[in-house]
Amino acid sequence: MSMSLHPFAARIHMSTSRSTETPWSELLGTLFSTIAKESQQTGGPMIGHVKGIARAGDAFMRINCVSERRPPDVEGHLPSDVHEVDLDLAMLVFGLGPETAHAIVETALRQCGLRWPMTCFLDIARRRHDAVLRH
Amino acid sequence: MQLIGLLGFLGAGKTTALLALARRATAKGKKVAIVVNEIGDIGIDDALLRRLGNNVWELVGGCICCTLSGELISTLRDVAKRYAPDLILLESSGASHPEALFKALEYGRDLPISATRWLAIIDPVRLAMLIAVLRPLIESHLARADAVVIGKADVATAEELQEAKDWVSHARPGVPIFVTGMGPVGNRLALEELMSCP
Repeated sequence: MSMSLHPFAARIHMSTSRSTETPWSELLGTLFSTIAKESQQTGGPMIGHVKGIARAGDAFMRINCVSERRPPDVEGHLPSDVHEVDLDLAMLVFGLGPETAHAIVETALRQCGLRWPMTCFLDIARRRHDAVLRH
Repeated sequence: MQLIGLLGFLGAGKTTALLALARRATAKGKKVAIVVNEIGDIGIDDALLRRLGNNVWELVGGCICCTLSGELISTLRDVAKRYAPDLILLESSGASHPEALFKALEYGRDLPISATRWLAIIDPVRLAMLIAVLRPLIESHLARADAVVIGKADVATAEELQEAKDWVSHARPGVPIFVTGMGPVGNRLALEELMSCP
């Protein structure tokens, strides 16, 4: 059996001026849903996952998305008065190379930025991104 | 020292099952070590598991069935020597191949492990799609499992759960099946039952 996977991972610092009425679960859930939908539009039904953990001090929120047809699982809590978080994001989807995954994440961030203005800095983990893992 | 290994495709619910097992074991006074493997360069699950107060060893940036097989054995040795847990919970990457993983573990035969159980975690909601695309991999998880956990019972339909049970029973007749989920379904993973699986 052989299957090729190209992992993509990034650390994203998100600074938003969103209203405190908008919970982080909604913002991050929308971001991950958008990534899943963009993945589906690019490569067909999503086979793999997009997951992440957002941190702000001692608070955290974990987001996991395995299908464009299902809302992401969200656990943990980020207080509503927090305006900056560090999000570690990992994406592993069949058929999507790291450059494509990177573009999808940026597109999703832009789309979320239209709704909740924010500034994001992406630090892409590149150590193995040129490698193809074969099983 | 006992070892429970979790097999299952990406997003099957391995971390959720692992957390449930860790909570049960800790509540019973067991010293638990968690070894988690993620293919990506940044570990997500280990960060969550640590935040929840667990003792975690991470293997990231490759897969324990191939590129990180050597690191797996050295990590298990390190855990046994420095932490001496009662139970190691090993979460494989969602893409690891059991045959290759078991071969890698043969190099750890000197480890002081008294009993090992392997759980295959199945996502009933995506099972039909995954079988259509990755049948050999999903079947290989079942072939090596001492028990099968069908998760996400709180979000799957009754038909999806029944189809998953039927498929597992057909692929591995007689294998113990646990149906679990979050929320109102509760998590029914019973440690003793798992460890007593033949």
